[in-house]
Parts: sequence; C-alpha cells; structure tokens
Amino acid sequence: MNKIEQLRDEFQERFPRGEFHITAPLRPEDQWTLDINHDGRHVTVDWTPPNHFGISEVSNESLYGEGPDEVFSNIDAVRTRLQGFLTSEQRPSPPLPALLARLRNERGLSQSQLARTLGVTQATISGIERRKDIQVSTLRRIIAALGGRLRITALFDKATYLVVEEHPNTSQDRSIGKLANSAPSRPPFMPFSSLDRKGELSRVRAVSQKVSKRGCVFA
Amino acid sequence: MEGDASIPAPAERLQEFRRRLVGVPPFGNFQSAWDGLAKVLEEVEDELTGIPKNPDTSKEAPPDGRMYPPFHKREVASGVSGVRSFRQRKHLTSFGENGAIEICELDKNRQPVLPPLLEKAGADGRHISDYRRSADEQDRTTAR
Repeated sequence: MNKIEQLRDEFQERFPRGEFHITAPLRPEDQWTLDINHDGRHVTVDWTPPNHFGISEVSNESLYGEGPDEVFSNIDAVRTRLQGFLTSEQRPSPPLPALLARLRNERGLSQSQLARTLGVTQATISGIERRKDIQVSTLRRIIAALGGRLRITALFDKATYLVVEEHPNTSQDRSIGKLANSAPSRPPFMPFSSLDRKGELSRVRAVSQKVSKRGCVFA
Repeated sequence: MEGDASIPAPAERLQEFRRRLVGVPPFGNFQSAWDGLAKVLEEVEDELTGIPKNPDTSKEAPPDGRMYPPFHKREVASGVSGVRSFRQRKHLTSFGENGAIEICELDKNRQPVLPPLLEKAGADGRHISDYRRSADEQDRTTAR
C-alpha cells in the first residue's frame, strides 16, 4: 500500500460519511491525487513519491493549472492538517498574495472596487496581491473590508502567543499575552459597580482628583 | 502591467485564453498542441495580470494568482487511444495525437463537465470528442 492509499484508508475510517477517491497517474512515480468530499467541501491531497505532498481546496475560484495551496514533506504533517480541515472551519491557505486575491474574487470584488472601499488606488491593491510582505495594519484593513477579522499567533515549542487579534466591532489591534493551551486568554472584565463595592472606585476617584489638582492630564 | 487597469477576474482571463487559442491555426500533433497552449496562456497572463511567471518548472507552481498550463507529472489514463489527459485541481486537459485540445472542468466526482470549456480541432479537423466517439463505437463492436 502506498502513502496516498494509506491516507485514504485512515481518513475513510475516521470520516465514514466522506467520499474518498484516488486518481493514479499514468506512471506510478508521478503525481497521485486523493479527492475528498466531506460536508459539502472538496479537498485534494496530491502525493509525488517519495515524500512530496500538497493539499488544496477545490472551489469555483480554483485557477486553471495552479499548484497546491499548501505543501508538505512529511505524512504526519499532512495527517494533522487534513484532520483540521475536515473537522473545523480551517481551510487550506495558499501564499498570502494569492489568498487575498482569492478572497476578493470569491466576494465578486474587482481590485478597483476593493481599492475604493479602502480609499487607496487600484495599483496599491495590485501591488499587495503580488508581493509577499505587507504591513499588519494594511492586512487588517483588507481583511476587514473583505468581511473578516485578523488574528496572528506566534508559536513556540512550549507556548503560543496571540500577537494580534481584531475583535468584532473594534478597529484596534490588541497585543495579548501568553495563551494557555492555545486558547485566547482575555483580561477579566470588571464592571464599575464591582469596583465600587470593593471601595476601589473611590480610591480611583481620589487619585484622579489629586492628579487633576496637579494639572496632569490622562492620555 | 502598467497603469491602473484592474486585473480581470479569472473567468474573464480564461475566456480570453480560450478566444485566442481557438483563433490560432490548428496544431498538427501532441507536442505542438502542448507547446501552443502554454504559449497562448503565457501571453494572456503576461498581458492581463503582470504577475511574473514562476520559473521553476520542476514542480507545479504554488498559487500566485496566475494560470498555468498542465503539469507533465499529472498525466492520467485517458481511456482513449491517441489522447493524452492531464489532471489539474479543477480541470482536465486532453491533447490528441492530431493536435486537438479539450479543456473540461471537473465536477466533485471528478467527471468532466460538458460541454467543455474549450474545444479545438486538430490539423485533420477531428476533435477530442471524435476520438472518444470512435473509441465508444469500437467498444460496442468488440462487445458484439
């Protein structure tokens, strides 16, 4: 049994409602494709022996002849990623410029239309969709204009940090500390009434009066 | 690409590619059809997107917003004598030994959606669908 057949059998067992089909290449050393239809989504896994894998999502926006969205050289990484795609809203992500163009096309927006929404020129959008580097603030604005929210995490061996998270109905990035078990930790919300009960509100009021008398201003 | 012209949507570029490929003189064999398709597609993408072509032809180009011709390592059994087929993510491109070309979208069951997105006859006037019809007739004759 080859590696793509191994993956098919494993995932068929885990997802019995899915449809799994392998297309063999004409020559066995060439590229094999595993098509997976599950919950209305169509994902393909490509495999070229011995260890070159690719995962893609097939959609109406799939371009003629484009290669896989994500590539891997290790079957375990493919297993982990595929499991994520089939059990959550995660989707294969092509390189950022292509992802932004795809998201824009999926929403039926031209570069000019998106540019108008953001108050920039079409040439700016065109440039962004071609280069790999982008400012976080620009990315945040584009994602927001496309109807999403930006979240960036930094992964370390024993810790995950939520670097940027755009919250609904705000336009500010937030830098947040270490996450326990990769789940976002948010500072506890404390209403004013609770501060008042603890006597903290009067202390805050006293401090602010002192500050005010000294002519300081809170920024 | 110069100026402020927006990159046309992928469907419009595919349409332009189709228009130009159908418009060039018929190809006479597999290799000239293979090369001809790549040349026309490259011209369309250079003109309409300005996205530089990925120079690494040893593997499929990662998504960069540009369309690419079939990849040689993706050849699959065509099931029809005289026809070679190449699977892409959502498309199947077939070339005839007479230079005919056919591009079909694939449905979720990997079946070609008809009518094809593009059909171009070879130098002898035969389409890929003619090859298929001949193969079907031959199968029926053999079955009898």
